[in-house]
Amino acid sequence: MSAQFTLPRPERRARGAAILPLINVVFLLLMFIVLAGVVRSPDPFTLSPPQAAEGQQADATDPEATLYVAQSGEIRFRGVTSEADALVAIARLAAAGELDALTLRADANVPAPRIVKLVEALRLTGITQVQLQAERKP
Amino acid sequence: MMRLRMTPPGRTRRAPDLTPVMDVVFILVVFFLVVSTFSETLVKPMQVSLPGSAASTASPANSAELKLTAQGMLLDRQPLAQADMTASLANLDGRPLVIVAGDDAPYQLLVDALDAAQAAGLSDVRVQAEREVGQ
Repeated sequence: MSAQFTLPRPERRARGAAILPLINVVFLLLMFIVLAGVVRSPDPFTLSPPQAAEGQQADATDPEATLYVAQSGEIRFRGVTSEADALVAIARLAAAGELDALTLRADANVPAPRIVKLVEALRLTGITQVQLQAERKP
Repeated sequence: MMRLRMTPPGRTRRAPDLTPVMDVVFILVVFFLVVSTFSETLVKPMQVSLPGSAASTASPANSAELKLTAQGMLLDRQPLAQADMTASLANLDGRPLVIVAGDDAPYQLLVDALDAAQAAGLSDVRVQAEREVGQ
């Protein structure tokens, strides 16, 4: 003799999988990314700035007042690629009083004397304050 | 008698379709992931000794010289380990520091030296390229 169980057939859900928890998670993810990340203008070329432990926090620096130096030595200031032209442009802006502080964003593997000579040249153009940009050491 | 079963108007509202919202939110998530950076950006002021007349006053006789090379660094011509840098720079007894960047030293080493000087509390730190030494 065999007992026969008849179980009710499981009800199919009327709608697909509940989408609401997924939306909650994705919204939380969105909030996290918006709060934790900083939207910054992209570099004109690939460069990895040096790491530093000390320094003043500056999340938003003006790309118009930033001089970029790539590992290859290539420089970029407001779209100008030649070093002499960039220095002339900076000197003009400094003389007109439109630019007095400049941020230098250079690759960590650029030879140090190149940076020093560049900062010397910037000081001679009339820039009063040069800041080196670095990333906080993890 | 026939009974008409009609649902009252206005009660037939179904849950709104959330799929377009999800599409937009996913695109927003991807956009912010791509665009935002999570590393913290720091800026450090840098004081250079200008060539010419300023160079003589920038390197007074009693200043300590920290020379950076690709092989390591020398403080007053003595080899210095990077780990001891902050401690050694803190013992300068108020002497001004001149950081001399050798030709093959990477920029990261210069930032490390500026970092150590700042951590040691030095206020008078100047940087020069190697060519100026002895000029």
